[in-house]
Amino acid sequence: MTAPPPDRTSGLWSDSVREGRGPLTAPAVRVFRFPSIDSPMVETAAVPCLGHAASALSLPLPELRTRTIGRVLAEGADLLKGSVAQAASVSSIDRELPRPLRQRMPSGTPETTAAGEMPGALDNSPFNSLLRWTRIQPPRDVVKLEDRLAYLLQPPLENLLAAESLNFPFRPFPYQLDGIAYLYPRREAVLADEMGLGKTMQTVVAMRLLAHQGRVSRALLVCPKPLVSNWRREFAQWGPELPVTAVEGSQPHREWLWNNASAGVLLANYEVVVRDRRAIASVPSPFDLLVIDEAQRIKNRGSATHESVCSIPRRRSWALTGTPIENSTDDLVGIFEFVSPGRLRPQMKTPSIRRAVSDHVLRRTKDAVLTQLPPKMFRDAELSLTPEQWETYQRAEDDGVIRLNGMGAELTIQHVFELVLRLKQICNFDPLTDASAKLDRLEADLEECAASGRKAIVFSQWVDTIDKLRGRLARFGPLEYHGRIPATQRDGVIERFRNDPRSSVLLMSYGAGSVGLNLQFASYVFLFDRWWNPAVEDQAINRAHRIGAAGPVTVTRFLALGTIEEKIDRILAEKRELFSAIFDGSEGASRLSLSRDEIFGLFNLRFPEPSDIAAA
Amino acid sequence: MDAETTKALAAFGFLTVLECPEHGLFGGYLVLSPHGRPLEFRCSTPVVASRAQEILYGPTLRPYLFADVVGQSLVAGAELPVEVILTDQRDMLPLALVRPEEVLLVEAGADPGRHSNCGTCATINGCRVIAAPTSTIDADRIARLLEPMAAHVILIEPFERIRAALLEAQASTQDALELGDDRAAA
Repeated sequence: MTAPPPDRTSGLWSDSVREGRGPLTAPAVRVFRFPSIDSPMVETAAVPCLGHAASALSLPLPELRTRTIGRVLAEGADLLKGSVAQAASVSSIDRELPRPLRQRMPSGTPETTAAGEMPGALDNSPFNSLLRWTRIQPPRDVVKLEDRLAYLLQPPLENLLAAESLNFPFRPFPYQLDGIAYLYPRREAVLADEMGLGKTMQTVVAMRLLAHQGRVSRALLVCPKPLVSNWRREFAQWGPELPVTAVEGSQPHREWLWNNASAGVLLANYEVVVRDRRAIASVPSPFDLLVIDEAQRIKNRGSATHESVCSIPRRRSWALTGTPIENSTDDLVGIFEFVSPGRLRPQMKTPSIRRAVSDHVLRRTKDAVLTQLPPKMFRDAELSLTPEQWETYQRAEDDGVIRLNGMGAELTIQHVFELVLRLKQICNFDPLTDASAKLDRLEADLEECAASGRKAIVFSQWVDTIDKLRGRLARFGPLEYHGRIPATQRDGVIERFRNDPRSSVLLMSYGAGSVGLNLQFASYVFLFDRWWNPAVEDQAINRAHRIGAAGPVTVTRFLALGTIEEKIDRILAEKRELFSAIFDGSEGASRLSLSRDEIFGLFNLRFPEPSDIAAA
Repeated sequence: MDAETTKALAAFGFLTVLECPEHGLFGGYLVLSPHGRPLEFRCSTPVVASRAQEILYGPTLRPYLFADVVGQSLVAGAELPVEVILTDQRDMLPLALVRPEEVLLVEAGADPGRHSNCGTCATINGCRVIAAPTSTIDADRIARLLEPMAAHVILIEPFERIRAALLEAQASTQDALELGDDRAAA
């Protein structure tokens, strides 16, 4: 028998490592007590565990306290009911596994056999490899060993979710559990999953878990106005016990909410946050968590939206976006001024940015994680304009270029931009005759789509185009969702599109319909005209191609041959490949939209140099 | 004491050793609540036997290092009492000779041929739970002991946590060493 271990310090640990040998006396032991994860507990609002659960934890540790929002539940209380009722029988144990544990059991695992018997059907392969546990890894900026161990020694996320008695409408995908485990321990995080992977659900569940554990009692979620109702639905589905309050109504009412809503989730749109910036900045205590959805809305550091959001007092900052970089790496700098001020600086080189954000950004793509998602098929419908359109187009282009060339030093990007827009509109419809090669093709495609009972979404940049489409597509029961549809009616439009078999087509503008909506019941997406930025097009497409899509999604991109559309498409196609420069490790240009010089280059124009201006 | 109170008071010990070729044996002992929450964690400095010790102890060296040196040190100093200590290493089973707690081996899968020298065994949630050869415990008692936890935790899972924590502690020590070397060089 060995003697009791001497009182050795951790420094001796290092000595024995250096010497490469150790005495056969008892080794020094380091002790860690839990829970010790650094999280401000709101003691005043804490609710102690019920008696039997608290006594389980009242050994030499201080009594644990739990805090929940919406309902109070002893730790694992619902699970205890099942297990307590069981007699001490070996064979009962498997059958009484809580659902998450049962789901994790490999399919080949037999029910527990009678005591002492060997389960013949059990696979001999390592049991570990058959089960998947989602671990909560400590963020890199947690440096104290005790704190890091506190994370590493937590049960896997599946157990935490079971112990917190969280019911889900369906079982999250493994990558979604990874996302929840990523958000859960972080105070500064950007969830930048590709559109359609369930950022909303991952956020709600992570918030729910933090709320149940008393780490978040008061949260603010900021999103674009059209998505408020979508978030409410997601909270109802994935976090039904979380009290959600939308900040809306009159200014006094909103002010009262900012100052008095002491628990739960406040839901506000960006416009409200800007309007109420003074009231929010002076809330009685910081929000435990501030989440901003579609975080690219704050990419411009000088904007009122950016300043308003960044001034909100908070303890945790999470940003959600499928397009963390829309135009340049400066977009990411803007987002990080909210998430982790000072971590990124303008003009930082790509490798430096990658290093700086690597632990703060989680980005997954559908290709990487959703191997079960139905395919997304692209068809480029390259069309020749009708004779009427072509004549109008050529005349407009010739006249326009001549006019631009004649402007000399007065030429600005706005002048060029106006011509581009004008030509793009002609590619949609001839303004004199309303002839449209695209619409002719769209009608033919929609005939097939409607005949098969499927739904289609048509995107356009212009509401005027949508107006014209509505008349010609009347037989398909078109519905509209764009800036001229009042916000109060938009949910009804989506519901009708979902449920009314007579409505086969939804006409949407990129601005109103490119983010946040779940339209996975649509099988066809038509891009009647093209947006300037591929990321926005991707967002539009992913309204339909997302989790829950029942079948393949066919995306038809209309393109008028020999026109400005073809030139823009060529440039954007090159830039689309560069999107992953930051997140996928490849080096390259970071600008994704058309630059000033590229817009001038569409007409072989040159941006006036200072010398030209001086000469003028 | 009724059954529910018994469950509420239960805490479970998980004990394993991480073998590191460079540094030796690191021990880790984790005490969990019935719901799998960590209550106490103890880890040891690395233990390395010298060549002379290897010759002296012969084939009993490994069980001696695991159970008597590492295991006993970790469990003896723990503040939280447990009724049962689970290990995933057969060489830790001799700990049952020197500890009052029940020491049980947990293994994934089934390999009947490997268990000829062991005591009572039971299968719980697909894990084989094997008593020390010297133990008189029967399968029903094993089930009763583990049932409060088995409803929430797959018994082999906590050993992964211990190994991850030991690796983290080891890396942390290594970092501290390198930092010290750098400072000394400076």
